[in-house]
Amino acid sequence: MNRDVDKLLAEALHTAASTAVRDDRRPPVFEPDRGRTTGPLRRRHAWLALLLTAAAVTAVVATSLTVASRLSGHSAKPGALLPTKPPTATHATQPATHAPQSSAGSSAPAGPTKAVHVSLFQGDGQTYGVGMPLIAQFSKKVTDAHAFDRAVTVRVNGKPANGAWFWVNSNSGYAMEAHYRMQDYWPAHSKIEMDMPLKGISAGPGLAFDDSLTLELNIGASHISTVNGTKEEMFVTTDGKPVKTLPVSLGKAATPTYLGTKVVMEKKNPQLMVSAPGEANPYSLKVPWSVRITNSGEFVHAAAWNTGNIGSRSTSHGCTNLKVADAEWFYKFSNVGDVVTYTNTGTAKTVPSWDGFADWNVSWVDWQAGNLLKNQ
Amino acid sequence: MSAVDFDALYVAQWRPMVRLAVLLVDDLHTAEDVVQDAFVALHRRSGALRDAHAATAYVRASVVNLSRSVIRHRQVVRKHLKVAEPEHVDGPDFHAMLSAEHREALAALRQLPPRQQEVLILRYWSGLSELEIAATLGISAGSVKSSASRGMATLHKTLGGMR
Repeated sequence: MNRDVDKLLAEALHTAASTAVRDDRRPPVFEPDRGRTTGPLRRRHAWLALLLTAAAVTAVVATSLTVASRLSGHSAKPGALLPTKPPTATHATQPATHAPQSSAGSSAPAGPTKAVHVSLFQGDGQTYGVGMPLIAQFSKKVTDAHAFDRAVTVRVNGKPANGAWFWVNSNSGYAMEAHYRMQDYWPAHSKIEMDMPLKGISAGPGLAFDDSLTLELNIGASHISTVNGTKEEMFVTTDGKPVKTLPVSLGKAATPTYLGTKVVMEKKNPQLMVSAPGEANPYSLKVPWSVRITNSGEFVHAAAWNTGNIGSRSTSHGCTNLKVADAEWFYKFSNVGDVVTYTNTGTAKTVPSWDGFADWNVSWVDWQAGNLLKNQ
Repeated sequence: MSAVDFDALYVAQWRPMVRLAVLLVDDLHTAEDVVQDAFVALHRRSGALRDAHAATAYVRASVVNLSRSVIRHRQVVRKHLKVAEPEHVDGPDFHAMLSAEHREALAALRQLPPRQQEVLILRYWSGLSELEIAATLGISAGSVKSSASRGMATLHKTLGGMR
């Protein structure tokens, strides 16, 4: 295949740039005194410096208050009047290892508190399947999740959700992400409300969240499909009732389909699919009725070329091949957030939890612990 | 009030500049730092600049220069400090979202000498003319032309030969 390298390069750069920096990414508050400027501040930015100084002072006082309350057993309410002088005795009894961490604002020459911007993957009013984790995205790495965990509330049909946040590296160009789920899937036909009053709250020493957000979304019918590699079939249910059993062809021995629970990420008709670099028989195809279930590139899709093997043999590159009419039906049936679970795919490898929305492959005990950051 | 409205320029140019920087340094976190520093530099002298166009060109040149020194620093750190290598240096997460052929193209671009990468990114992503690239990088139009054609020749070889 003779390709136009100019065009390919332009496309690759464009895609990389807009994938790394999404359109909804906003600039941080400009900090003119960053980079050790010695000159005088311009007047129109002077208020900023004032704000930052105030934030730094608040951070110091708040930190010493927290320490004080931890030691004395009292709790300090946010928003309570701050004492002008922190109790010096508590400073003296601080463990040495804690001292450098708690100096968020006291190390004045090191610079002001850095803002951590928060954005949400989901949008208000949308409807998702029962397996959809809530996803918060951060512009800087959060180093302490305790304040976040205390501040954020999630409700299902008006009641506290009792789920937990799981802190992960981002696959989509953010510095970090936190995913929220309950022990089991969301209840079908429910309403999720999240309140994230984070603005000004600590994200770790020297870091403060910069956004307060809310989210309201709906969960649709419970679509749970189970794919069994031994039988080469996919058993589709809605709200617990069987709907259809579809014959499939899964990944061949050299390119097996991952085991485990995957979640519908997006739908494309058609989807361009390209072989992994170095694959023996490279391909580049536009595939109709494609439902993406992993970031790494597993789809449930129409495979007209493979009809002879569908229902009897695993011959694909890892995707779940369906007959064209079945694929069209599944495409129209599926919503982002629907669940597809795989068994007996001929491999011992379970889909990694970070590959798409495969968050359900983490045990509830591990999930509650919070992963990269501790929740409690 | 100077001829350049700094705040408006910051809002309008922040995202394009971070995108340029991320293509140069291959890491979003570093890219945002680079852009912040570039705007700090502009802020110091925005009064001295004629118009928004000149200011944008100034920021772009700062982004390219700062990115180059980040990369140089990274290489020095890697050479002398084999332990505690910072994460993300060789495979930023957003690559996972790209198609295989785009990843291939970017990987091939990364193999080129820094100057050729800069020229190709400014040409194919920023859409600058040869003269504008020359002004941004502080080199002659002839060097821009030769860097571009050498870079493209290598890319043709790498990407063409893989199929």
